[in-house]
Amino acid sequence: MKRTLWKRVIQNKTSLAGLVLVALFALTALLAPVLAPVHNPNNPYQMPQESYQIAPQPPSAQHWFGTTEQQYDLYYGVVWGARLAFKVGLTVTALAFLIGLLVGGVAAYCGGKVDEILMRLTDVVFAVPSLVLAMVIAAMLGPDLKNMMLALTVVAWPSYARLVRGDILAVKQRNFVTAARTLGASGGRIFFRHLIPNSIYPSVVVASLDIGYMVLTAASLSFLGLGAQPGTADWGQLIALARNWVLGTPGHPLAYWYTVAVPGGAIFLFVLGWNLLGDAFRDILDPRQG
Amino acid sequence: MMRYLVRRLCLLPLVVLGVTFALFLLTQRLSPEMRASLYVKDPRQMGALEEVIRQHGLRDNVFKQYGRWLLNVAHGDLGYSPSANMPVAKALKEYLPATIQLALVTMIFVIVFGVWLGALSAFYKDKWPDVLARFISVGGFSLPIFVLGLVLLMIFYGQLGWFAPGGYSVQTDFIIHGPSFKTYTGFLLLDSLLNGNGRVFLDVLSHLVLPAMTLCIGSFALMVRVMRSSMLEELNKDYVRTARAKGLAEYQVVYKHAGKNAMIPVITLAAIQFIRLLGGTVIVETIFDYPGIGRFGVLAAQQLDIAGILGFSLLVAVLFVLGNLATDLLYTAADPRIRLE
Amino acid sequence: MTAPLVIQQLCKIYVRKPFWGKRVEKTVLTGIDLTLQKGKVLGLVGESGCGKSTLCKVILGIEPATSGLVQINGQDTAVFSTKQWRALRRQMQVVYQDPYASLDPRFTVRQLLSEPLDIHGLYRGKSSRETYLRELLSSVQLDPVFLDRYPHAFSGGQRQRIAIARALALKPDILIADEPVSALDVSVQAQILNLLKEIQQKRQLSMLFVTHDFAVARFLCDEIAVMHQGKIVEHAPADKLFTHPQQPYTQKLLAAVPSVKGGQL
Repeated sequence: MKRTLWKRVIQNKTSLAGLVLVALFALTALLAPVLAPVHNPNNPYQMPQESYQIAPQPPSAQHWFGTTEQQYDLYYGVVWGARLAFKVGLTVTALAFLIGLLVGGVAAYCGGKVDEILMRLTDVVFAVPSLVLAMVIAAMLGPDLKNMMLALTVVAWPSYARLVRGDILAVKQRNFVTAARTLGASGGRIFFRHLIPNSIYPSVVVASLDIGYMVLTAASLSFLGLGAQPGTADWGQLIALARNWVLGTPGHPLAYWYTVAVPGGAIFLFVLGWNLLGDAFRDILDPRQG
Repeated sequence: MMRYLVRRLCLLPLVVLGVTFALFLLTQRLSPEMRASLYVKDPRQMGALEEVIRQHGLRDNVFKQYGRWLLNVAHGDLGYSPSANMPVAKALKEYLPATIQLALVTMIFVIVFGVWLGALSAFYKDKWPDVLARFISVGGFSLPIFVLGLVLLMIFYGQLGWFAPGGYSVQTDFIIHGPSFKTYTGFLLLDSLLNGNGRVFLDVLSHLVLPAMTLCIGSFALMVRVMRSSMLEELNKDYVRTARAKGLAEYQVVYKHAGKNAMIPVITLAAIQFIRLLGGTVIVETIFDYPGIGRFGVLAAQQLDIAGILGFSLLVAVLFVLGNLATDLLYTAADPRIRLE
Repeated sequence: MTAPLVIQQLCKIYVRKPFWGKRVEKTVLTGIDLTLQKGKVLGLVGESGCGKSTLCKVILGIEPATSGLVQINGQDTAVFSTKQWRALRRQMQVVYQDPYASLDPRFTVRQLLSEPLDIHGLYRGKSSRETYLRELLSSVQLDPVFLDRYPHAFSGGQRQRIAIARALALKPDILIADEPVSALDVSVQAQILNLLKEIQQKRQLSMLFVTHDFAVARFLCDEIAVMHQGKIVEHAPADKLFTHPQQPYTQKLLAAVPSVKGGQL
C-alpha cells in the first residue's frame, strides 16, 4: 500500500509539483541558518534591521529581495519565515490532532452521554468561523507567537475530534472488536491495540496535510497584527508591512511591488504545494470524495 | 424533520452561551480596569473607572459577572465600544447591513462567473479554457485573500485609479448624512434606490467591486470545480444525447438542458458559501477599510475593546448558527432524497 | 453433574429511548429454553433475522439479557463481574461467521493467536509459546510457516481455520459457532465442517452450532432446536427432527431444503 501511494503521487503531474514545492520549502527551512546567517543568536527569527528609514528599498546586491518599511531584509524574512511556517504548522497540527484524538476517541469509545457532551462542545467551536474565533482568542491572550499557536489549536482540534470519532465508530462496528471482547480483552487493550491502529492512520495523513491551511490562518492573524511580535520573520507580518506601500509613489504606482510579491509569493507557493499534495492524498485515501 | 428543527434551534442558545462564556472567562485575565469599559456607556465616564468597577462588581466571581452581562444583553445593552467610539449595539446595527451587502454582491460574482467558467471548462474539457479553469480552482484555494486584496488594490486603485477603498466617497458621505436622504433599511444600495439617487448607488457599488472580487476567490474556486464536475456529469447523460440526436443546436443542449440540471448542486453550494464568507470579511474589510462588522471586529480585537469583541462574537455566532440551519433546510428543499436526522 | 450451558425463559427486548418522544421496544427473544449437554453438539437453526445471533450475543455477554437465566458451567452469568467474565472466556469461546471481518487486519497470525494467551497470561515463555502456536496451527491443519503472515494473504477457508485455532487457544470446553461456514464457498464449507467435527470429538467440546442450513446442521448436530421469530418452536434429537418433524414451520423449512429431502446429505 505504501509503495503504491508513493508511486501515485510521483506519477501525477500536479501532486508531483506539490511534492517538489513542499520539499523546497522544507529544505529552505532546514538550511535557514546556512542560507541566511543568523543575526541575533538569542532569537534567530528576529529579522535584522539596518536603519529606521521608512521607505522600502528595491532588490539590490545587498538585499536580494529588497527591504520592507523600516529596512527589514525580505530575503532573511522569507527564509526564516519558511522555518517559522513549519514550526507553527507542525506544532499546531500535532497539538490539535492529539487533542482531537483524545476527545474523539473518548467520545466514540464511551458513547452515550459522554459522546453527546463532547460532540456538543465541538459544535460550539464550529459555530463561529475559525478565523474569527482564532482572532478573538489571540486578541484576548495578547499578540505573541505562542498565544497565536494556542488560539489556532483551540479552533483546529474539533475537526480532528469528529474525524477520529467517525473513524473509530466505523471500526467499532467491525467484528474483530467483538471478537477481541469475547477473548476477554480489556477496554484499554481493545482501544489501543485494535481501534486506534485501525482507524487513525488515514486521519493522520489528512491532518498532516492541513499544515498549509494552518500556516495560512496563522499568516492571516499575523497580518491583522495578532500574531508574532513586530520584527519576527513571519510571512503574514511581512505582508502587513507592505500595506502602506501598495499605492506606490506619485507617477510610479507599482514602485513597491516587491513588498507584496515576495512574501505573498512565498505564502501562495507554500499553501499551493500542500494543497496539491493534499488533493492527491485525499483522492487516494478516500475514493468517495474524489 | 420537526424534531431536527427543534434540536438545531436548541443548539443556538447552547452555542451562543458556550462561545460568549468561554470568551468571558478569557477576559478575566485582564485587569478589572480594562474590563470596566464593558459597562461604560459614555466616554466621559472613563475617568471614574474605580466607581464602575465597584458598581458592576467586576471583582466578583466570573459566573456572577457573566450573569450580569447576559442580563444586560437581554435588555439590548452590549456596552460601549471605545474602538468604534459608540455603543456596541449601535455599531453592530450600523455595520451589519454593509457586511451583508458585501456578501451578497460577492455571492453574485461567485455564481455568475463560477457557473460561466465551470460550464465553459466542462464544455471545452481538456482544452485551454478547461486548463485555465482548473488552474484557477487550485490556485484560488491557495491564494491568501490578504495577498490578493493588496494586489488588486495595487492594480485597480494604484495603477488604474478605478476603485477606491472605503465604503463610499466623501461626496456620498455628505449626501447620505444630509437631511434629504432617508434611511429605510440601512442597506445603502437599497436605500439609494428608494431615494432615487443613482449617483449614490453607483458610488457604493463601485466601492464594493474590489472587496467582493477579493472575498469571492475561495468560493469562486470551489464553485468552478463543482459546476465543472456537475456539468460533465450531465453532459454524459442519456437525455443530452437524445437532445443532440434530435438536432438541437449545441448551445440549446448545453444551456437549456444540461445547464439547468447542473445548477442544482451549484445553488446549494452558493447557500453554504454565503455563510462561510463571514470569516473572510474580517480580512477583506480591513484591507479595503470597508465599514462592516468584520472591520469592527478586527479593530476591537486589535485595541482589546472587550465590549466590542464580545458583541461581535455574539453576533457572528448567532448569524452562523442560523445560517447553517437555513442551509440545511435549503438542502432538503432542493433534494427531497436528503432526510435530516 | 450440571450441563455446560443452560438457558431458561430468556427474553431480550431492545429499547430505544429518544431524547423526547415515545420509547420504542422491539422484542427479539421470548421465553427461550435450551440446554446444551456435555460433549454434545446442539444445532440452532432458523431463518436470518429470527434472533439466533442475538441469542449468541446474550450467551457471550456482549448484550445483557432483559430477563431469564443463562447458566454456564453451573454459574449464573447475569451476576458476573468483569473478572468473572474474563475467567469464563477460558471456558467458552466463539467462532464467528465472517472470517474476513473477525480477524484484525493489522495483526499477523502469530499476534492473532497470541492475543488470547497474552490476555490470560498463558505460555509466557518464548519457546513454550512458539511450540504451542505451532501446535495450534497444525491442529487446524495449517502449516506453521504461516505464522508471520497477515490475514489478507489467506483464503476464506484458511482464515476460518485461523479463527478456529484462535478460539481453541484457551482450551475452552464450550464452543459457540455462529454460522461458521455460511460466509464460505460451498467447496470449502465441507472441509471446515469436517475439521469442526473432528475437533469437537477429539476435545470432547460441548458446541452450540448456529446455522440457517439444515444440511449443515444434520451433518454435525446431535440435537436441533428450530427458532422462529425469537422463539424455539421445536427441539428434538437430530434424526427424529429430520424424519418426523412435528411443527408445521419445521416441515415447511425442511421441504425447502433440497438436499435433505431424500434423507441424504
